[in-house]
Amino acid sequence: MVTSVWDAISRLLAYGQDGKQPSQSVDDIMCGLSATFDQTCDLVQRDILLPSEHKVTVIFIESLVDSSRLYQETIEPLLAWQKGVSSPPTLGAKGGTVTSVEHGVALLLNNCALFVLKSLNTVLYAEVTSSTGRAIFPPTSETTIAGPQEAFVERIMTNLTLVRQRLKTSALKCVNYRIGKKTQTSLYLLYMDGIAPDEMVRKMQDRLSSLHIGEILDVSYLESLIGISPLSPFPQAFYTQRPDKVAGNLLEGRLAILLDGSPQALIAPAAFTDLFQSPADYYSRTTNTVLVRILRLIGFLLATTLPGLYISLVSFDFEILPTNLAIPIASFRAGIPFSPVVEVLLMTVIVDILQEGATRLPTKIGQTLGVVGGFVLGQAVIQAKLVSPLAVIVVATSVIGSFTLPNYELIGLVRIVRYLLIIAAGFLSGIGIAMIWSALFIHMCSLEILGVPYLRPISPLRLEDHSDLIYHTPYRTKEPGLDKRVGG
Amino acid sequence: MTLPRAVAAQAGRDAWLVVLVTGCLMTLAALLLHVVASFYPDKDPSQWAVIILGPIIGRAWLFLLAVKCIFFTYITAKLYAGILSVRILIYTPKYVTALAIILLAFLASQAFLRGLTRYSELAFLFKIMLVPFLIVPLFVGRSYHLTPILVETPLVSLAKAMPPSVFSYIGFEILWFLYPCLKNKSGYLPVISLGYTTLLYVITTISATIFFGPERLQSLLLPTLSMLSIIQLSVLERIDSLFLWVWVGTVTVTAATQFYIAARAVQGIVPTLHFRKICGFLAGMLLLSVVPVVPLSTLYKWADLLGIFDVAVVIGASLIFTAIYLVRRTGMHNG
Repeated sequence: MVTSVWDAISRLLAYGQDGKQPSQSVDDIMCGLSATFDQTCDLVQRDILLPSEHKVTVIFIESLVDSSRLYQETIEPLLAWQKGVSSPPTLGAKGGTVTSVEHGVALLLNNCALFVLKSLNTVLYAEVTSSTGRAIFPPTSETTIAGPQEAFVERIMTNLTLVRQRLKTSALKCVNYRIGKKTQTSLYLLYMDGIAPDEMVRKMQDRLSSLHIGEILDVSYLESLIGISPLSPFPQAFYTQRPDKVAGNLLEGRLAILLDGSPQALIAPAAFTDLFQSPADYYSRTTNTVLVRILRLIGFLLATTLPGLYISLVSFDFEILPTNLAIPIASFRAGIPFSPVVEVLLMTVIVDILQEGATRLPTKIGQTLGVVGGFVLGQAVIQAKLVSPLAVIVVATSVIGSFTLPNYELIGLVRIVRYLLIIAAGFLSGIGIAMIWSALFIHMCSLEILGVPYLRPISPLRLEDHSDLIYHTPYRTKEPGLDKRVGG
Repeated sequence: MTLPRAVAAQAGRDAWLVVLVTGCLMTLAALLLHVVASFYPDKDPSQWAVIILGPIIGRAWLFLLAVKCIFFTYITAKLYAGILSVRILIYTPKYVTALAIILLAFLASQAFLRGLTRYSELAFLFKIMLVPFLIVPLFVGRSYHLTPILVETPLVSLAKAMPPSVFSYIGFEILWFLYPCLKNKSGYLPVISLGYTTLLYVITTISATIFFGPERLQSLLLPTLSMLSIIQLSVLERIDSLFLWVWVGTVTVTAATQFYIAARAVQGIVPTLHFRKICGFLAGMLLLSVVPVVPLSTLYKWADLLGIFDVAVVIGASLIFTAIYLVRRTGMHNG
């Protein structure tokens, strides 16, 4: 392996063979490449005749390679040296020797240019990644007022740079994988050596090495592939656009996965409590963070349980409410033709449809839809006496409660749990709610992601790991960067 | 929920003392079993039997344990369903709730030992939140002084009152608190959990005895719930109903741990059987058996019998197992 393709070419031209022979002949490699890339319009093949009478054929895929960089970093210095204008340069694009057709195909598809030196029976390659890509913008889904305002982009190397800028340590390890038989997508597994548990890293590496998938277009494909239960409604890994969040999680012993073409990183393993934390928590005062986290927890409980609780109280357990509260509730429901279960289900379905519709529509139309749905439709169903005003308040509060949650995956979970609890409360009142929650807790207790319990640090109880659960320990009292929560 | 009535029937005003002593005994048993568990960290408690007692006595013991645990699961589900039917779900057939409890127990058994211990731990943490509901009645418009220890109740009556209180400690459930502790290399959790449970039961018993008196207690089916129903807050009028909701967690843990031990015990008898198939079979059997109606009073009698069994088994087993463990350890040291 040579470090510079330029170096290799110049050495070859100056001294002949360097001892590294491809396993296939150059003609075979050329034929194989032609056959593989038949009808590939962006495959470029150029012959350059050097002053030393050697012919170099340059092959690359135009859409993947930066042509000007290719010319500046390899071809131009080569020609200049051959003409005797300059002395042999020592720097150039990263490269090496191509050994087979398959190797050549993989390299061409991964931003490399091939240099075929037929007279010397050698094929070399140089990595000349195209710089086309969007600029780094602030995150769109995890906005914070304070803290860094950079988000990942589609280029994996840029994303790795963003993480490395925050973790300038040799302990940050990055392992490269090629995933997808058809797509051959580049994947980086990041972890902090000495902080991430070895067993966890080994498990993840084993899973990534044994992945058999045809194509992978986004990092979200990976969640079900790396051993995370796909049928569970609970998010067991989380996604982020923020490099600072990746850095923070790596310091807590988690693993991060970057995938080429995906503007977000996957962080695993996630615990249930992690889903209630936002990057903004770490850029705010501890007291504010505690309050906000408590509010999020209340929001989560309201979002999931309030509609079921309403059904239970109105349909079965009226006596729980004090009389002066029970009478107005009964008067609100007078004249409503549907049972509480039906009216709550009706409203919840309508609100969810509106919410889903607003997500898919352009922002301004989405806002209009929200106004029409929220005000007009809500008012209309009350006036038509299809739904009681209290049911509208309950469902609206439940939906607003879900907006406090910082993780979109958690919002999906909230919806599923809400429907389950509505139906359970309709059958078995509060007992049904408690039973569904019991079943969910049993499920959560049974989950282990990469060997880490999903409900940690609550169950198994680890009091020493509670420094970032609700109460966020101020930084002055923390060991810098060694909050080893996952491995404990 | 029935503990104060059941214990006060024999021990009168000294009921709380019985609860306290039973709690201490169970904590001691838990500690002893923790020592044994640390000798077999990778084995189920139900697997110890064959290792310690040998294949024949061990299997006989496992059979007894399996029968007891299945029966315990059945009673837990039926009792809870029965209690609910007189308080909340008056028009819902009793077997519906019982079936739901059995299904939850089955689900929990599929989480295996680790999942089950985590769930037990979680249920325990939720139980901590119940304390305010139980302490409030102590202070609602009444003040009292603790009755002197050992008033006039004979010791025999106190001993007789022990089985029903053991039932409240859920027998072998204590074992399931051991495994997380083994991983943490510390034995504080069984002590804390059982200590806390004891405290909870003592408070409940004292409250109910003072509130209603030992004689009136006998006429109340569920004295704890009756006591809770007296509390009125500005936003809640019937805390007892709320309490029954939350109690689902504890009931599920009880039923699930017993169900799991039963399935493991069956597997210990016939090791070639697949665990999931055993669970499926036992759950099916239980689902069928909970449908016929059984009066609550009969269920209470059966529960008392199980309490006697647990007194003998838990404390006896902990002593025997610890003795064997110590003998083996001495042998190892000498070897």
